[in-house]
Amino acid sequence: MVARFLHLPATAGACRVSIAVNPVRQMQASEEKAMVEAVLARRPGAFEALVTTHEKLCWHIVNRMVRQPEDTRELCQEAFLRVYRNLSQFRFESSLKSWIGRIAFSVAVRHLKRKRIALEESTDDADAIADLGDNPEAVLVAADQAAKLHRAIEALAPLQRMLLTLYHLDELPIAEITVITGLSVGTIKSHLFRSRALLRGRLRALRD
Amino acid sequence: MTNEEAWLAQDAALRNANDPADRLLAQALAQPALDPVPGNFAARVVLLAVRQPQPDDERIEMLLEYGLLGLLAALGLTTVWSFASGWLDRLLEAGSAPETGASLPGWFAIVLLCLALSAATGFFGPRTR
Repeated sequence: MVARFLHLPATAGACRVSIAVNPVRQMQASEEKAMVEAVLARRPGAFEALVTTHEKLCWHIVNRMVRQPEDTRELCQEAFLRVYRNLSQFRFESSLKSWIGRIAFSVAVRHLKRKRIALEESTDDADAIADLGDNPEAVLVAADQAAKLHRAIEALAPLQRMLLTLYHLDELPIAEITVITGLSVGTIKSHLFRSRALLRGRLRALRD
Repeated sequence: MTNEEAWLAQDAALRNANDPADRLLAQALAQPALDPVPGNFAARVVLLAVRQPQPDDERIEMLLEYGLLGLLAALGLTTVWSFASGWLDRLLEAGSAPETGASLPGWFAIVLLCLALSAATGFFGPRTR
């Protein structure tokens, strides 16, 4: 995991260069190009294949930010409809995955803003995490601790939850997360570091 | 310890997971409580996409819109060409007539006053936001 960001290029432009010389990335790029061309040529099943390939990432981004399954479904649909409408404008400057992720992220951010939900701060953080240490004797079982840890993760701010998911579940490199979110490498690392330190601290308190 | 070193140390601790707490945290982070993607999601999106106006339709619509705008502009220019010279002459005559008391600089001052008044109304008036 460390290797994913140890040799990060300083700029996004340099990042694209380093991705371009990677043979795996080149193969992915040619597959993506074929997929995009098929959708633009309206080949039957092409758009469905594109959605199936990228629905998981889109769902993870939106679901971790808005949490409600019904809202997630509607926002993911909106994101893919935007992809469909604007696919002819995709210039292959980033991976298709990052481009779709960025659209999903912007759709989710707009939804949170409309609902006046803070992107980076969570009001119920303190209470939910404080619950972890309410009764240490009763939570000695690992499964119980894990459940409480999940509650603490859920109580994090939408942006932090989403960044943790992209990094730990989808295992995206930080360079790709910067493309999706538009945040700098330092900001992403800072969010990840602080949220993990918070969770780690609460877990330690729970175990002591 | 610099921020980068602290970050690397934290990441390595989670990756190696030697400590039971780190292991538990790494597991929880890699398996968050996510709602599953609905089974028919892709098919539904395709149905919605098909119902949308197609890009080609939009292009035709845009061409028609530009065509209409061009036609309106041509009609406007023809109208100006046919009648405006008369208006302009009458306006200049009115501006230079001694009995009206308004000269060309006078008209200019009136226009400036109007602009200033509308700017002030916009500035002091009710905000829509």
